[in-house]
Parts: sequence; C-alpha cells; structure tokens
Amino acid sequence: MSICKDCDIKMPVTYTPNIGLAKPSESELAQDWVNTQKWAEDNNLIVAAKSNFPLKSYTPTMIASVTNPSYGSGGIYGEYLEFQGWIFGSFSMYFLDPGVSAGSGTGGYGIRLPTLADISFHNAVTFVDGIAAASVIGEGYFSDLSSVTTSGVTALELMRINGIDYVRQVPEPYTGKTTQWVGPGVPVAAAHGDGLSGSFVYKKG
Amino acid sequence: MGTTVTTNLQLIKPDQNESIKQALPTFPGWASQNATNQDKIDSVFRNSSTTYTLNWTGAVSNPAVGSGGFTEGKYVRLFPRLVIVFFRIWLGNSGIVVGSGEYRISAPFSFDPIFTRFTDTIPIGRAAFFDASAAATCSTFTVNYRSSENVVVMRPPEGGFWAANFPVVPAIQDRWSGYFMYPTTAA
Repeated sequence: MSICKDCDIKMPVTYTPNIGLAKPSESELAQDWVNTQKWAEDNNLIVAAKSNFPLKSYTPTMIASVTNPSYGSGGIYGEYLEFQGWIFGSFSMYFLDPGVSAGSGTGGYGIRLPTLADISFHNAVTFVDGIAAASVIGEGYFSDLSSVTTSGVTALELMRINGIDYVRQVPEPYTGKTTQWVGPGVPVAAAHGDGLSGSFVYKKG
Repeated sequence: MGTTVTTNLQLIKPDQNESIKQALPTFPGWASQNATNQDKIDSVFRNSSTTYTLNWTGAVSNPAVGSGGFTEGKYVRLFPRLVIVFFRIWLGNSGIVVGSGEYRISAPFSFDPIFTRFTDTIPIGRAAFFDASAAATCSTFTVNYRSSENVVVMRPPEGGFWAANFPVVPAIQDRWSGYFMYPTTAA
C-alpha cells in the first residue's frame, strides 16, 4: 500500500505545507507504525527532487514594433532555473557583421523571457511603447562599442505582447535622449560589436 | 535528556537510544522529533507571495500620490530568509504632494544586521523612473538599504539620493517601479 502523498491513496498522515513531507502525529504513527521507514524514504525522495534546479537554456528572441532586429553572425544566449515557481535567469546577445540590423519601429526592443510571468502578481505593459511603468524584474546593460556615453545600465520592465512575455530596457539619461527605452536607433542604431545583457527574477505564470 | 542537532538547519539527530523513545512529558518522541525536522526542511522550500503596505516617506515632510495615484508593495519569501520585493509608486492626476527631503520606502521585514556595515553603499535592487513630462529624464536608479534608519533609499545615476527635488521635482503621472532582495533575520 502506497503512502506517497502524490499517489492516489490518501493516508491519514499530516504533511508539511510547502513540499508535502510526511510528519505523522503520535496517533497517526500508532495507527500505521509499520510505514515509518517508507515515510522517511518518501521524504528523502521529495527533498532530493525539490533540491534539483537544473540550469536550462533558452533563446531570448528580440522583437521591435515594426521590423525585428538581427544580430547578424553574432550570438544570442539565455539560461534560467526554476525554484518553487520562481524563475531566475539571464540573457546576452551581441551583434556582429555581416548581417547586423537594428530593426525599426517606436518603443523598446522586446527581449523574450523563458516562460510566462504571473501577471496576477506582476504588472506588464502590452505594447513595446506602452506607457511605463510596469513591474521591473531585473537589470541589464547596453554596450555601444563605439561610444562610452551611450553605453550604460538599464532596468528591465515586463511586457506581454501577443501572449508572449518580454522585457524592455529602461536606460539612464544621456545626451540627446528622446525616448524611454533601448530600441531601434535608441540610444544608437545597434551595430557591429554592440551588445545587450541582463538578469531577471519573476514569478512563473 | 536532550538530543543533538545539525549545524545549519538544527535538525534533530538522535542517537539509537534516543530515537526509539516514546513521547514523554520531558522528552519528544519519534513523531515529535520527525515533525520538527520535516518542518525545518520544509521551510527551506518556502514560497509565499503576498502584498504589504508600502510606505513612501520624505526625510523632512511626507509626499502624497494624489488623486488616482497609488503605492504598491508585493513580496515573496523563498528559502528560510530570502525576501524579494516588487514595488510601484504612481502619482495621480491632481492633488499630489512632493514633500521634502530624501525619499524612502519601507520593506516588509527587518533586514539581517549584516547589512549595518554597508549602509547606503550596496545596491540591493533596481528601479525605473518614468518622468511623464520628459523622456530625457526617464531613468533607472539603484535601490539601496540605509541601515541607520532601517529604510530603503534609491540613488539616481547622477549621484546623491532620490529626493523631493532630485533628480527632478515629481509631477503628476510620474511613476517609479522596482525590485530589491535581501535576507531577513527571522527564518
């Protein structure tokens, strides 16, 4: 007879609230003492399974409001892990010729997240140029190879567009700044050697 | 008669004699020992997210979000002591009060005292500032902890601290949104 919490048969045993470890009371133990070892074994299996947070890779696709950018022969990388329904991850991408294109359109670049976020907990804008400020869920960096003044740190703001979740980058003030986000032509048109990176944490939807 | 415990989680690790004892008025039996241990292990996998009242204050006089504005604080507790906070402050369309002095916001739980030695200096998060009247001054701030006053402050990239007159005087429909994470004292 199974005493596993995740199995169909429910035994009269008290469980912990977060991951369901068996902790029988004195009376429960008296009624089913023969399963003491099995409870311990099941608890160990649960802890082992819940302690495994494999780092997974994903593709942080970039979008713009009209034409999506191209990183040419550069690279685009993303990785994340999930712990108790929360996502911890990072992304990086760099633009290398041939084939670099900054894309086009107003608003910020959308950088895809690995999963949907819980927007009953977080707040997301629904357009790349939607008015700020949605939930900030991370921080990043924009590297302009040709100019220090247009490189800098960013805040990552949550967006949900056509059912897919992204972040956009909110940069520091800089000379000539005309829009709130890093996007096509802002602060400069992405070119050979430029890059974007960031890290994030959010509640999984 | 007592039992020994492990170093980090304080799990009870009875010897062979202790482990077979029944519960007595002066000694916890197996069920009690096991329950204590499982609760401690379970707390490592804590995942509780909820809201809290975010207090937005000024060092000299307090600001007010005005009509249509709001403050919002949400947090999750992970592991025994990690807190991750998400906050937003939206100014309304009328009746806002900018207050005076440096701005502060409150955290849902006390910080671990280890932060005392790093007051104001270590960023614990990141925020975005939306200036409704000028894209040029929209910005991103670091979020810092000031242990001497037990408050959370922010630092704009221009230097100094977020305040009623810095980096700009807040106006209607301006907004801040950010997150920060820190260890609490209590498990």
